[in-house]
Amino acid sequence: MFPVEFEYEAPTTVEEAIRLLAESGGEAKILAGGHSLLPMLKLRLAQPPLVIDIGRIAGLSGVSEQDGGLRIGATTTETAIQDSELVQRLCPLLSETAAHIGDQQVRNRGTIGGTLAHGDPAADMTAAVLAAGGSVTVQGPNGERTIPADDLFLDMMTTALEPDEVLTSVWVQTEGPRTGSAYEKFANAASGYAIAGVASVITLAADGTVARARIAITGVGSKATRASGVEAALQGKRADDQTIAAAAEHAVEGVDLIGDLHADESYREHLAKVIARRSIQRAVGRAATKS
Amino acid sequence: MTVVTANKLLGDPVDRVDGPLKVTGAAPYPSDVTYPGLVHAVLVQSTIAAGTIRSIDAADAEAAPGVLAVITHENAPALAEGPMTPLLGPAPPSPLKDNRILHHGQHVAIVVAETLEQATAAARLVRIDYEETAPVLGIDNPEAAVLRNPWGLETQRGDAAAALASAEVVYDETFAIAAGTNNPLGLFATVARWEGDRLIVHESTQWPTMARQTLATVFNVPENDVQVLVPYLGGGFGAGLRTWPHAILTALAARLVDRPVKLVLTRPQMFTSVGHRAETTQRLRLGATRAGRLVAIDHVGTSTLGAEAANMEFISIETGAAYACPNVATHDRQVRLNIPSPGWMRGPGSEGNFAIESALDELSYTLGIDPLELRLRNYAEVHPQSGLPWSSKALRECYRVGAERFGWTRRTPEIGSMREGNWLVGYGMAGVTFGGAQLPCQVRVSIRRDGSAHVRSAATDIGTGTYTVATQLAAELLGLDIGQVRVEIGDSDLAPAPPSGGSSLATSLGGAIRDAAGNLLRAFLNVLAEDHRSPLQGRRRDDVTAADGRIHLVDDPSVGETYSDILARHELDELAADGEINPQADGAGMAPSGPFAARFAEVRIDAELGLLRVARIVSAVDAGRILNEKLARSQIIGATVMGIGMTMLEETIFDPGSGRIANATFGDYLIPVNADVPDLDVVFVGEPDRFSPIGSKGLGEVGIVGVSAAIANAVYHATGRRIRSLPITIDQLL
Amino acid sequence: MTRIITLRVNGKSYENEVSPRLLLVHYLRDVLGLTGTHIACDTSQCGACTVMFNGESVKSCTMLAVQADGGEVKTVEGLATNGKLHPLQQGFWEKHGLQCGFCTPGMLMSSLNLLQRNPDPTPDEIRHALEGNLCRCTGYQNIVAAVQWAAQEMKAKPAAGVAE
Repeated sequence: MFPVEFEYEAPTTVEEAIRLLAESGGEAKILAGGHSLLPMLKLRLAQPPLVIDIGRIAGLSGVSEQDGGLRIGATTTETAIQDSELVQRLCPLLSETAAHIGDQQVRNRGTIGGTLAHGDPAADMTAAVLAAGGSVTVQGPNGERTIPADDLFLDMMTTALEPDEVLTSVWVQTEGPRTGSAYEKFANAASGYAIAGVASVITLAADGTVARARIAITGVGSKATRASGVEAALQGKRADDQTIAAAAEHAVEGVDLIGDLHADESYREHLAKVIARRSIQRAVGRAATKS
Repeated sequence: MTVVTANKLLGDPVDRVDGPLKVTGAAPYPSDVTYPGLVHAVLVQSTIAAGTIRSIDAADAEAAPGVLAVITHENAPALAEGPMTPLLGPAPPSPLKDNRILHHGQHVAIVVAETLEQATAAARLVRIDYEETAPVLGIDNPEAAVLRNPWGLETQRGDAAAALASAEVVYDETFAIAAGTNNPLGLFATVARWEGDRLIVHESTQWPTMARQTLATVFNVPENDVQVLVPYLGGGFGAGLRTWPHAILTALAARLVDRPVKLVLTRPQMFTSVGHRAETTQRLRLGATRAGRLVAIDHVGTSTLGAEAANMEFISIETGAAYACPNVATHDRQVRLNIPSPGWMRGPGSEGNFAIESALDELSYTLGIDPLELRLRNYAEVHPQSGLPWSSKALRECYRVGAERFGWTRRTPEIGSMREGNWLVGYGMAGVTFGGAQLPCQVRVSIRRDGSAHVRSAATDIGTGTYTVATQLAAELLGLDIGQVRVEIGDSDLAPAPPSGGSSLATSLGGAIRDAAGNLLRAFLNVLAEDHRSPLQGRRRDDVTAADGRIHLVDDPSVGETYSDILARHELDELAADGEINPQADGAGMAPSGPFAARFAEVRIDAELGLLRVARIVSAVDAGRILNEKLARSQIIGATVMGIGMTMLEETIFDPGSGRIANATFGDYLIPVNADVPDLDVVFVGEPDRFSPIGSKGLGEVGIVGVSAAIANAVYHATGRRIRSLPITIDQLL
Repeated sequence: MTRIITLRVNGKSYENEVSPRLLLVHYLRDVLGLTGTHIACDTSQCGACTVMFNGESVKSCTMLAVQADGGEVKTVEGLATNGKLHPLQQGFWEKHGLQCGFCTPGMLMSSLNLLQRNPDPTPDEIRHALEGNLCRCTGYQNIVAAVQWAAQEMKAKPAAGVAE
């Protein structure tokens, strides 16, 4: 399989990338790790005149602490996130999720910025960043702006990024005291994409009730989304198995369920509830043992 | 005499002789071949399943950069049909015969250009106007033409109908198995080049001798003017038994553009172009006594077939041989549909085994008899059809050893009685009686003055280890070190050989090598007949044996001389001899046996997710003499995992409206991955087979047989859900 | 428009003019003639095309040749050192981690990536690390054994696994 012919630029600054993007009238495609874009190019689902490789821009990759959270450069690979001591310590949800993505080779090339900007409805990191209270920083001709993860995913493969904007970094909240997280997934056996994936971040109050729950779900609908019904059902409650099971029943509330060869809508709904329950249970268990 | 003794040859776990080439990336597969001036071909495939081509507009494609030819039915020369093929039936119909479309994905044009990019781009420019008609799809479609007993292979003995009518216990169920696709990892490729009227083809085939014959017939040239080369093949699993239309088209393209042409199928094309396991349904009726003796078997198997293609396959072929049942009737039906032609996929007949072995399991619960005990009560001590003694059969040993290693006695008979945490645990087993043929095979073996031996045959090594086994055998029979033997195969110019398929090659080629080695020793003795300087002068074949690079007297190893000395003294560079086997079962006084096996499976089920995991499988296999234990074990393990795929994952899905295969990629057609693989234990039992010159029986396929039933029976034991359709899907378990 | 790329493959420097759409796997196979790297799916599932890029395993069907500009590629042809097989190559041979051999080059490179990250993997860790590589022949069991064998060998003789 061959992509159609395209021009290729590898700018060394974000500004240059934005200029090239603007010059193409938003027709160009940004290439980071290429694991979302290249398959689309090969299948000719995308036929951009220009591909802008941001992989050579210094400073777009790496993890640092910032504003009570972690700032992760857009071209940081999933492997780097999986292996980062900082991520493992301060936002373990992200390293756990990264380890679930694709396979070893995919993680070596795939980037966090790429997966978020692509907005694949079955991606894993989308749910993790939602549950981690994250946001993304994007840069365009008019400067920088921040988009909360909650507002980022609009529809299948559609995000709030403007055609002339480049996603430059991701910020996620640090998991604080009495906070536990988990990413649970039922994967497509071939692609590894989520048929149902649930990321949970749970903070317990001193009395053992749920002080804060952030639950996000991926793979079941047209976009990754917060499971607010589940969150509401947990809020302020004692996180026993019964409460969690009841809360998990809300897993697909408001989700426009999708069905395909691998799982029809009703099976996805069933999976989502089971996976949500197991994800929350694990997160609660971790929160309870974390001072 | 050089005899294949029980202690020699037997199972030396010699490392693969092709190992170094394969771990360094140096083994040349057909897709790696290139030539100066080589150009590239790309197929255009039909986007409808039935109808006709009204017109083809190839002008844009022909005008595209680099394009050398666009070949369609409108401009292709008429090609002859391929020959009738032993084992398999008529060859697939030759391509580009007319404007009729018989299935989605049928090759309707081949585009040749200087580069692959150019050919790919131009192929998109070929515009085809179709007149579409309603395709005949679906195995139950009443409009489909049905062939009954097309190959005359049905079994009749006793009176099954009467015995069923009077049986104390009657079983009557239906089974369904989805179509599957062979999907060897290596994409099939053809590189064709004409030197005048001589055709040289590097071809992904499991059968160079037949590929040569097919191409010679189709292009109407003498067989000697066609050479088919395949020193290495990236797997086959039956897909390479035929010379498929794409290969013929590539050779045709090479002739028309007068350049070497390369075609590599894409993965989606691997689903439409090189056969697949037919979808099947079965109705199985059993009659039994309350004591668990089978009195009747009536087995109807129905499989799908292409609209015009043939496929000599019969899914209940082993039913009549498996158990000592006096009344048996088997029925073979093939249903013509607008689908790509099915062909053999590893272990044809494994479908019938799934039904029989599932049914026996059901019967065991009905009768309250342990499943293993039920099989022993119906053990076929002699071949139940012919009444002849088996040439070898250690199925009882398979049951005993397998059960012991598995821990079958730990099974508690009640359904759902074995649990571990959230997991439901189940044990299941199946017996396996399988066919396996020895086929006519020839080989030439020679020894050179430097003491090295060469083994040459048009056989192939599709990954199973032919190179290694042939090397071992020749070394053993000629008294040489492994390193002194060179095996040349994968070239149709060499002595004709059967396919690497049907579990036949190692035994057939081995028998021929044994014959050739004997003839070669005889040839050496003939050279020495008048040579009074030789201590072996006047000796006969039976007086001598070979060891350490020399021929010596059986009775006195000190009397003898080396091959090198003999050749040097007689100023010969090389001495060669041919060998062959032509197995004749008639009059042999025994029933030639295939392999037997017992499979034991443990499954775990997460009922909440509908998640089925196979925890372990124990396989006890009687494949006669094991030539190389390492290779043999790997065959069984690999086939077992393919059986897990067939049972739990694999399904080629034909869109019921369009006939298009809906999942023709590795993203959508699931083959087992590393994490799907349980703990697999393989043990070989039995003794050398009496009908096989080297005592071996084929074991390339038996490993896939019985896996499905063992797993499905274990699922029943765990959950009480009886699965009669494959693959086992989530909704069957939720 | 074509671009000039320079990169090192198996320790040798190359400079070539390529089209931006050229995939790394086609560059290796068709431009450099390194046919040990195989193509078996083209949709990033099978892993037959896996090579090392800048020290990490990548699927070369899912990377453009221009992305490799300035980088370092190692293919199966570069795994042995001065004709001496890498322990992983020895392991796949010794433990029969192959049949048809088509997936083997990719399996080897993925295993190399694993052993760099984790010199002493458990069978489960090996299975997890090799989930991006399909094999249709072996049933994987001997592949796991081969990687374990290589890990032991490299622990016993640390220099054995160091290429170049």
